[in-house]
Amino acid sequence: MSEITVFTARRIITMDESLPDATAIAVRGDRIVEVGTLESLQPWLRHHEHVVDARFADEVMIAGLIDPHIHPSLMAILLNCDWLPPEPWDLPSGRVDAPEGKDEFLARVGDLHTSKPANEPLVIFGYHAQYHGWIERNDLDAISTERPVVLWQRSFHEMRANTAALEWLDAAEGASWDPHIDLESGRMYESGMVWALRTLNPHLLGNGQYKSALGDVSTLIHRGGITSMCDAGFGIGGYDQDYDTYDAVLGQQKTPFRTYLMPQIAAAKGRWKSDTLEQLEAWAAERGNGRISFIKAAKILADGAFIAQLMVLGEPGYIDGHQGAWLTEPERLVHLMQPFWEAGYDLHIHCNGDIGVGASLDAVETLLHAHPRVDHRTTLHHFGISTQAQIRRIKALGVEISANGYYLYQFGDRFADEWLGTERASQMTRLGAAERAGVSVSLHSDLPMGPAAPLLAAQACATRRTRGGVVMGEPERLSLDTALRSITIDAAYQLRLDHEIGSLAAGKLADVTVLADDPYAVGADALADIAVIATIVGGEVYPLA
Amino acid sequence: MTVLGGWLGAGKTTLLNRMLAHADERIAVVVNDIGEINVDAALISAADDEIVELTNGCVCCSIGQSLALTLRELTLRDPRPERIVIEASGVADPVQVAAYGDRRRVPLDAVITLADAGTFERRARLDPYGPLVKAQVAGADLVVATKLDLLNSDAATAGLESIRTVSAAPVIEASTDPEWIRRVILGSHQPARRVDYTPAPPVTGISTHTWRTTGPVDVNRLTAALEHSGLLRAKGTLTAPDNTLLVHLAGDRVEITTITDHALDALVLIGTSDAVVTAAAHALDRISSS
Repeated sequence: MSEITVFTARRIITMDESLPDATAIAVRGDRIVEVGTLESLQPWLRHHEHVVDARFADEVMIAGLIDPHIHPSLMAILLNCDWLPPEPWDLPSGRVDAPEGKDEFLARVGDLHTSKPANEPLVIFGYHAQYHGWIERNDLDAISTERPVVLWQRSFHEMRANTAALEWLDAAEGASWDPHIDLESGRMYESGMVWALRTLNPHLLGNGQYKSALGDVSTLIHRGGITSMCDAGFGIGGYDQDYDTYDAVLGQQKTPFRTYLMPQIAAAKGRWKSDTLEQLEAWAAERGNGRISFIKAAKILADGAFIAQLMVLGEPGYIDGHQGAWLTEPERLVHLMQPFWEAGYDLHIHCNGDIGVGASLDAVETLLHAHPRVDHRTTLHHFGISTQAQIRRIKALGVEISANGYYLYQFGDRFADEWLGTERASQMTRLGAAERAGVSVSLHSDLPMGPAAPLLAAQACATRRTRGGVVMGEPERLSLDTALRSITIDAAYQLRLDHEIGSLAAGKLADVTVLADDPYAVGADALADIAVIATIVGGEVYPLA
Repeated sequence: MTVLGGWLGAGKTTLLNRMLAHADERIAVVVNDIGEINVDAALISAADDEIVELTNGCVCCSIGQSLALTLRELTLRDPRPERIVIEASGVADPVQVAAYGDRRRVPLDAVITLADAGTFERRARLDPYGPLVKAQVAGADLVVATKLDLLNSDAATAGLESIRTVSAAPVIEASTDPEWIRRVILGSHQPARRVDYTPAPPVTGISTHTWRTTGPVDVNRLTAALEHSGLLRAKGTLTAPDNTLLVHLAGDRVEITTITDHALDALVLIGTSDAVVTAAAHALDRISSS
């Protein structure tokens, strides 16, 4: 039997209501032996060899943070681009400041152009018309007629290209197949972007770049203090390619966090055309290791994306009158979910608009009647716009919410002005009502849609203060306690992993995030300012430089 | 390519299965769910690998596949499918799907929207989907009213009327007759070269007439005669002063392209009644005689 290590700390926030506070935690192998104080641990310590590791004695420990919705493969592609986003980002290569307005944006594109080796394509992520003005082919041709320049929109759904890039991407041929490519303006959007990715994917991910970028994604996740994350939609980049790359990078014992994979149903149906569930299970059964596991949960997408404003809204709709889009038509949701539901999978439904939320709840209700289940842990993901009536229905159906913690923080004020109006924008990610109703809430980043920074998500949802400093929809704040639960034990609960991770208690995995300050002492307003000192995963310490 | 549109439950998959069963050409299909295609049916007109399932086209759901790439892949098959049928999602606007055919690499045959005569009127009024339900019908070249057999005659008449109020294109009643599938839905009924050919057997609910001419025709006058003729389908080749015209009509859509083959100087006209096809034939007589 291996020796016991006792970590001590100024305070250990266990996220376990039975023993919320401690100052010492004993670990043997990858599991917790006991949580308490050096004194209360004595019955174990008297009988077993042990060492006391006091390097964090002045720091604060909290149950390892969890991000239940990340897209590592998408972030890997984007990390091989240059970034000019509408909000500042901390990337492995350093901090990127946000350009303001069209002139500054184009000047920054010009700077990148002059600093790069000649004629190497310039692919820039982060363009957003609401922040950077309308930019198209001509504007980019003014920067270079020789070098391909591609702007990849912040919402991920569109690109703008200069003439050289249109040639590089074979866009004229693409335009003869796809109506979503407009050569004159250089716009390639939705399926038109898929055409561009035929060239961009090998350019951005070939020659070992996928692995190296995934290593950078791993650095970002570690920096956020995350000890467990879930790829909530595994299979986007192809099941085989994604798994093999994850295995080589995230599957290493030295990886400072656990990876859980939640298959995306539509992508699985593309990979295994018949008997999808059986074939997926057989494939997954041969995979996984100490760091990567498949969970018995599946992802499905209802209505369109939030940042792209493609969510489906009910009355009174968008200010400019545009329409959202369905990714899975409402009545097909049930059809796609049913085999997974009946096999006991937890369904995680991407839904953003109130109509999307309603369609998702309709599907759950239909399935509950057709094939009743207890403890189904169906979770609505992102949860942009909802109504109070839907909160009551969510409660009644036993559904849970995993909200994007970042929508209001980054986009609240801007979306109120142009798309949603003040009332609905102020009540986006309606989490206060969920807390009052006793509905389980977790917070996620949807990286690359938001940064993998659970403490920032918790701060944003507990204060409802935007990046611009405006407080929106104060009654929909989470309490500080629930905000912290939403990035630890409640996130674990929704992934059906709460017996293993999410809180610190005897027998559970020894996953801890070490912080420089006490979240309860600094308060909701300053959570994001707390430095992450290290993470501990399965008893192994992974310091942050 | 042919696009099938219409709200969920309107009968798209049923019609698609009939098209596959009765077509006399090689068809590739792009569908929402392969599981609903009746691949066990005898004489199916599509090979296994020509039935493609397309998940909806958001780039963050699938960064590797799109309808454009699927169409391109299908046209590279050997032998190339003679027709591609796309079953639009029940909440899609089929006109937007048809835009992929407007690229000319896969010319568009027709947008055919199905409407459940028993529920259309109510669905078209319901928020938030009502406007989409109407747009699916309003944008079609041909509208097929379905499930009339479930209604009494008054309800059937009212159902048809509610669809006609929205549709500018001909609204026809669904049929299970294989000839109806071939002539109206697939529009594959070609004029024969010889004058003394055996006429096609009659099909309940439609009339067929082969219009023949001898001299060259003027494209503009031809188009004018076919537009709003009330015909469901017209197909054939005609001689123009400088070249040969391939004429294709599907409800509201008239397409005239030039080809290098010799013309048969004949058009097969298909309409809902003898009166419609006779009137169309007379209109065509006037353009060739003057």
